[in-house]
Amino acid sequence: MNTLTVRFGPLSVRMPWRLILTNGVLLVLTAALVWSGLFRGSYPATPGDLLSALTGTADPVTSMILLENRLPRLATALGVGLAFGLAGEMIQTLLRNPLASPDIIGFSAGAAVGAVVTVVIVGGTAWVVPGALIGGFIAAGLILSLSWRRGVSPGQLILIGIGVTLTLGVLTDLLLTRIDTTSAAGVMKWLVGSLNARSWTDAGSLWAGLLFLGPLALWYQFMLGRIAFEQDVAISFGLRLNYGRVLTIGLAVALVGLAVAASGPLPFVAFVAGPIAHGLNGASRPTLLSAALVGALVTLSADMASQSLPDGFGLPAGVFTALVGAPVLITVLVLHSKRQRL
Amino acid sequence: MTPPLSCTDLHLRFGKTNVLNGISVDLPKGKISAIIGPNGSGKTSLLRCMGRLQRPSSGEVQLEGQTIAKMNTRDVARRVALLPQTVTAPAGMRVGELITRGRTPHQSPIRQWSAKDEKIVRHAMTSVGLAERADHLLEDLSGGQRQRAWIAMVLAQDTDILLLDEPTTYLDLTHQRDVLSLIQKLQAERQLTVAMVLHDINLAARFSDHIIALKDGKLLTEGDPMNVITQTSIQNIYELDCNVLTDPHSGMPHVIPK
Repeated sequence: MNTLTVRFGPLSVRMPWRLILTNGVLLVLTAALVWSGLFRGSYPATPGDLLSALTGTADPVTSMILLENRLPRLATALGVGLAFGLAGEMIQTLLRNPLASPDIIGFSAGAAVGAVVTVVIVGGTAWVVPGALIGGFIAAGLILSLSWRRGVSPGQLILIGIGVTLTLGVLTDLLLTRIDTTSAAGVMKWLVGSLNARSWTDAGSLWAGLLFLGPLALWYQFMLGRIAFEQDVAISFGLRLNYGRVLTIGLAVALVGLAVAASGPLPFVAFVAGPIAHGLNGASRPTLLSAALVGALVTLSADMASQSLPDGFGLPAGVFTALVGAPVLITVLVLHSKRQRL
Repeated sequence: MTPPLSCTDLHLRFGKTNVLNGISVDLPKGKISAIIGPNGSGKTSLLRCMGRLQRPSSGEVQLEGQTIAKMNTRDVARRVALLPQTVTAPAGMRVGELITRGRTPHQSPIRQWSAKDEKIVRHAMTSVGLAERADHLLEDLSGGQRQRAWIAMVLAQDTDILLLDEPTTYLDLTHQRDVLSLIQKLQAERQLTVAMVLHDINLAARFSDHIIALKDGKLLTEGDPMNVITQTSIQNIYELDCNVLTDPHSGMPHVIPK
């Protein structure tokens, strides 16, 4: 088989060459987007400028644009994309259904409501991160308990998740009427998904979570593909299914909560990452790294597209992720119904 | 000698329905046992209890004298493999990958593909005659080939005990025979202890060394096919009027309903 096997003492790993190649290409593309986001655009800069800005010898304008404007924005976009990509791939794998992604089954909507609630209560964005995390976990708990019939049935869960998403949307609208119009307009833009004017605070809490949760998810990846197998077979393989399900859903909800707090529920990023990644790498689920990188690429390009528009348009990045996501959603639905008919 | 797997006074209730009513049975070591009985007699439930997929309401299953419910589930998985009746693999899975999944109880995130894994998987693949099809998609195989792939997966688990729930379901006559001869061959090569649920009593007679006959969740009779498959006992088990002839090819009893 076309795989690379590495063995060292008791350690051994195996990876298909195509997967390695895909991840390499995705990594290079992501780096290229970050690079161009940092140094190109309306105010071109050089790596030398960045270096002098970091050492404090650059002029204040360059320093502010690079360190206070572009870097935190790119760090947020990158982190949000990685987090959504990971979470989407994990849930889609666990439930064995591409439609079961956190942004379709209500995890993102729950996180968004949680965040908006904190804005309404404290009148600022200071508590958005815990709000989004708590909102996400409450929504996930609600959706799981409503769809629980002697285990998780993906079809049931997706339908209930869509219902919960719609309900939460109404709830958000209701909350928006409780705050003054200026903040409501800001929250509204955030709800579509925006990466405009991100600060180091946004990027900081996101990356702190990501650096802890990301490696944990990658570590569990090997078993995730196996617990998502035929249930009886998975049990007879000696796997602890409930532990694995709780861990996977917990990790995914936490990742989604952090991402939503940083950028709003960028629609479809979690949903498209997995299917695109598998189209490229040809491997069976899960391939978390590919999906995370595709998520990052989609988010970074959407943000670039939103910045490249002439002043005054001001379309948030979420509009562009939706533009990519909607066709993928339709394709998945068509393929899905075809496969079921065959 | 302790039997490899033994059940003691197994009861299983779902709500008000009694599925198993006090079954005590041992699997004879290094033999093929066929579990037979009419629909709803508890065959699959018994097999699932043996493979700890189903926790009995009372009674216990022991693995060489150790209570299975108290054992580490991963340790059990290294000694008992079970293939359920209807199984579907995730879409896009390839034959080699499916068989490799059988190594799960021996693997971990840092030990994903040892030289031993590779050797055992290759051996399992060759044993069922699918070595050339490792890269084929599972959904592209015929029913018989797919069943052989699943059997190779449980073989790759490298256990001494193999539990199979109706391994011949949905297969035509030729493939039924092929799959069962394959199981017989593998059992002999590896000295496995096999228990399989079978609907077809004539296949059970021909391909097993030991028959476990259930009715209404009770053990009706067990023993050598020659002794168990008789006109009277078939009458008892299935309430079926029949003749029992001798299969001219294998010399085993052959049931013909009247």
